[in-house]
Amino acid sequence: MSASLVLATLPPVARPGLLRRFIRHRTALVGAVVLLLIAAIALAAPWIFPRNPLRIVGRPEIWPFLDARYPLGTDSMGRDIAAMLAHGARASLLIGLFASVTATLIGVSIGAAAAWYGRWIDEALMRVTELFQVVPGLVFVLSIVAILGGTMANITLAVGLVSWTQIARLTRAEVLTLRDREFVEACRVLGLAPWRILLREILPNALPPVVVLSSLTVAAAILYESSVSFLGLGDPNVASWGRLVGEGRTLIRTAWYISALPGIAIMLMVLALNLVGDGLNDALNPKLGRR
Amino acid sequence: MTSISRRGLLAASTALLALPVQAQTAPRRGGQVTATWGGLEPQALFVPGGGGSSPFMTSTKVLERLLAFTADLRFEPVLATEIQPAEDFLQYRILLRQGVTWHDGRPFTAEDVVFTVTQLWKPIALGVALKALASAEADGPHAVVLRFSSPVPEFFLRSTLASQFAQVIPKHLYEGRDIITNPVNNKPVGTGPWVVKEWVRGSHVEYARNDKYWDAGKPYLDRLFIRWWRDPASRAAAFEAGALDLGLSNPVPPPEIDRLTRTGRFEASSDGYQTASWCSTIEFNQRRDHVKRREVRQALLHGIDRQFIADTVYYGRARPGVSPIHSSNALFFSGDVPRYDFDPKKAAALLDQAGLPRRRGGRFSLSLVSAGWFEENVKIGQYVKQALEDLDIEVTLAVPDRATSLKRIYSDYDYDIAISNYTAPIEPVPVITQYFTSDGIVKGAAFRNATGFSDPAMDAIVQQFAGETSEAARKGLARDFARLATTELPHTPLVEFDSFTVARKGLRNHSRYGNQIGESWADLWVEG
Repeated sequence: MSASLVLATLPPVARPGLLRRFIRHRTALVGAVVLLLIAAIALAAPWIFPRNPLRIVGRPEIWPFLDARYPLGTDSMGRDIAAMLAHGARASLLIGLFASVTATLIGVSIGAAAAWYGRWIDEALMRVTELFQVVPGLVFVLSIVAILGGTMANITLAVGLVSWTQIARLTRAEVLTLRDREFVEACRVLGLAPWRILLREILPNALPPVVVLSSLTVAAAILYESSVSFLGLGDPNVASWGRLVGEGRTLIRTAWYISALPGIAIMLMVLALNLVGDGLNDALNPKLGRR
Repeated sequence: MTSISRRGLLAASTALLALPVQAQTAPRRGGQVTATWGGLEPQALFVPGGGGSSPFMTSTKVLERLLAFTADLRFEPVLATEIQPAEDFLQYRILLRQGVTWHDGRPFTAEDVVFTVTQLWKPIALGVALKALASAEADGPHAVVLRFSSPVPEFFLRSTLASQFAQVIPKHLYEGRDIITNPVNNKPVGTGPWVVKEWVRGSHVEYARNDKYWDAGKPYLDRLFIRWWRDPASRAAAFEAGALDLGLSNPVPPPEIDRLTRTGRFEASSDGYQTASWCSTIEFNQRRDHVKRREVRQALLHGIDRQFIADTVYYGRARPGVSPIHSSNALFFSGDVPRYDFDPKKAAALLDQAGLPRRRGGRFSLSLVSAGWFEENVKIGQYVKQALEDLDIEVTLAVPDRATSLKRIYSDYDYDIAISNYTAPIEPVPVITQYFTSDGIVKGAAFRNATGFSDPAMDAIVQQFAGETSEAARKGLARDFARLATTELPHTPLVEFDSFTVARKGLRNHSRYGNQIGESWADLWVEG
């Protein structure tokens, strides 16, 4: 059996019909549309609202739909809520994506290494993973942000650092199931270097469920960032949905829209990401795909 | 400013309160009250020498001071009945109240006061104020003599005796033990109208009536609860639910005051804070380029719209700051000081003159640290950032949590401009002056001179101020101090903001003292 034959027998990662299976999933489609819409707003924000979104532009606490210049009203400082929401989408998406990438990189490396090398390396890496898992996520994020300071980069790093454990465990489990399969044995017999087998043969097969989990990590990261900003520890130089909710919460009885609007935005984004994650899960799982 | 016009600030919502709240009818005995404040639970019920407003509130129901300071700026006798200065103001004789007992039945004597002065006040709680104290001796069981190495003004001494840190502690429970870590601090034993019954951590402290209180007939209430809520909005909800009767030091979000008073079930008052007048400050680090120059500081202040901060951030319950001695200080305030009106054009011109012209990348860049312990500071930080950016200055804003803010501003001096706060008593020495004097530079000591400002002229004025015994001369020195401080501007109030109390209608005597949160509340009563 030649190496090319081995590869040919693999189920390819990007199988034809993936997109069709995803689209057939109605709720996932809705999620994707909402997500694309938010992404479009985020990308267009500098053109729609060229001014610094944190700039005080009008009278404080103008209610939504009363003043055409501020379609979603102004907050307690007189800042344009629509501008803050649009620019906040950028911040949320950036933090979500980068935190998810950070978590995936750490998680996949540690999970794969643990499963592949086994023995004491596995033991050591899994104990470290457990160490991270027993610390409550939000507390860990807050500690890191409190120590390093509340900048975007630090929040991203902190969220990445608390989110990788699940990905590591999942990757490890997937690699373990693949490690002793026949096609891997065949690669070994052919004399392929172990790192090559891991990177080229095993990981691509282990990745689909990891991709789903990573997409859900984006949603979790956005929630973490919102929580940090809600508690007033976020980056004050950046418009953030969570901060807007936090600052509006004391006014909830008199001007509820200040916290409600960004709250709805966070909910929509996180819901959309979860729906997309579900859709990806079904699309990437051939067994479910035939339902 | 008189207390009447202070009330005027809350006029719309508190028209009914414009009459002084005094006992027109005889106080009624009985009932119970649940009180809170705009902050959290204390670390111990009594924290010797400080700990902030929360332990001040819980300890003073039990531990009394020698004097009290009323909202109309008079001293009232509490444990002392008379303060007699010697002619040279080097010695004071304090006559103590007779027939007072501690809650455990032991009599209160001069020995307790001497112990408190020498073991608590001088070394821990009032060290700066009592710098000149040479000795404290008992003169019989009911008199104490304090001797000083330099003259001490009478108002200054009385203020000190009525101040936040001047509780009198029982010698028999503290002698031979470390005062700060003594477990008695969690269940203090005092002479006051209230006896600690139970402290349920994370919830409330319950006080029972002291039936043997020296002021016969008081306290009027049977029971008192001090309970803590984490969030201003939930305090407003607790008021409406009837779970809360009295909230001091801004218990609810400002827009909620009008909503609560409109129901007719609550009243609001800004009295009861005369010796605890709050402000938010801007501080310029003298160790950093650009802001260490006086002309730059003056220019920057012209670029900041303080009226905007007062109107928007504080919902109009604030006034632009004029001088480190607040405009509410009826004894020492003088408006005859340099002012920095909002005028961005002038600010830009002054910066140009200072050799910092507009250019690519901004005139210069600086770090702005706004202390994150008040939500208002976050907003002020954001506004000041914008105002300075309008002057073409690059600003990086940080709003760290409480612990980090204290560290960055008062320990590490890691800022160019800081936004912080202080509460000013009527007597400016030492609380206000130590922000400006060289001896106020104590690395790590919070709410002192963190800017590193040091000027021999300032030190000389303050030294003279602290030792001057003529009240008229002191007023002049206070004006000199304020003028120099507002010319040099290492540190100046951006706005003075009102504190307010929210109380259930029918609750009486809740705003009678100069710092109500720290009075014994023996005279609090509920209409039938």
